[in-house]
Amino acid sequence: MSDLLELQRRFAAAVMHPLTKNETMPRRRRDGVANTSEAAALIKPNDRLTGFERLEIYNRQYWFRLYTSFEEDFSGLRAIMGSTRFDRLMRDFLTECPSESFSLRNLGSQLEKWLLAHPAYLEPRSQLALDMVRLEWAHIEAFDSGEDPLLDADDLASIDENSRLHLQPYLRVLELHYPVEDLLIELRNEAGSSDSSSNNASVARKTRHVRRVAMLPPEQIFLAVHRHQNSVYYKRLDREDFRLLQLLLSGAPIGQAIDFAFEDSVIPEDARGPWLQQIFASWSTFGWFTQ
Amino acid sequence: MKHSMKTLMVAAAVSGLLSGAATMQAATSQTNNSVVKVGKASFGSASLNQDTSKHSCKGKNDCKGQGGCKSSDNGCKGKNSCKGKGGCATDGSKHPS
Repeated sequence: MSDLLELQRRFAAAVMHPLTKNETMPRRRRDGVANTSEAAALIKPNDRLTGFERLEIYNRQYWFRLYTSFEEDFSGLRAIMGSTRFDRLMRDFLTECPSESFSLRNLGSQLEKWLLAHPAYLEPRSQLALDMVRLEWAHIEAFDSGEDPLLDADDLASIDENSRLHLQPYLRVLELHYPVEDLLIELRNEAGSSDSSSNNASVARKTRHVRRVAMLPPEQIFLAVHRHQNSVYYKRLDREDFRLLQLLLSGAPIGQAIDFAFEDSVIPEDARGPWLQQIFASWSTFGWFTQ
Repeated sequence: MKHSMKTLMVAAAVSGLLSGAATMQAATSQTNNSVVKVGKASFGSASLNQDTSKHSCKGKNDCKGQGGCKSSDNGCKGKNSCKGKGGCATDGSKHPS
């Protein structure tokens, strides 16, 4: 290993190590390495700061940046949980699932999975909070996932019941229990409202929005999260839409997906043809089908 | 579902695909999106109208992938006491030692 590579790895290990509860750099790391001696080996002191203090600046900056990014990505979850409980969740999650990507875009990719393994963090509004996490992650994926070329005339001409239709990588479908998309839009409007006269008043209004939704009885809500002309949209789906898209996204042939969509459906048999024609026309208009 | 029925269903779906593709083509050429009911915009008008400065990613992650947002290096701004003490330079300059 080159000296430079070793230096980079030691520096990264110091910078990416979790902070103490007081948000300072720990004297000793979890693996027993002393940060005091490591700092002395890596960074010279200057006339104002010791090597440890200089290294600590980078360590703290790294984690504060992660916190800011995570709070931005999951602002809806923060509103549901309140800042104190959200902060604890965030710190514990990021300690157990640290950033492993060059991009902070992926910071929350493991959050839903982690929360399912640690459900106590979400209480008492577990289902509402989990719905929000799923929506906020789907939003991130819908925003910057790739876009494939649309079906052309030749592709359309060759479709039969065994064909597998490909959908845009940015399309996500969710089964939810609360109207979290409406809540998230309200919260974002609140955050961006010019008449937010004071932070306290704004927080109080957000709390009221959350409380109102939390009091709703859980219901089955199907939602598509997708992108159109560089903006993300939330589109409510019917049960049949959702089941059809769910199977198409899993790579099932169109014939099988149609069977699945109409299982226990309330749509009368004679109305199913026109229904299919209409929804495929809509989805095609959105540009969801790709080569 | 009977085979003949399924064939009809798939034909209806393909017919929808074709008409949707034609509608999209027409909408694109007229730059008119009124035919597209894409759902609720994820950001309300207030959010869209707020600060449009280059790095205003706060509260709206629409700047992702456009550079200058989460990958930027000025995340320490206002967040710690590094100002004026060295150790926070992001422009490649050397610290006084």
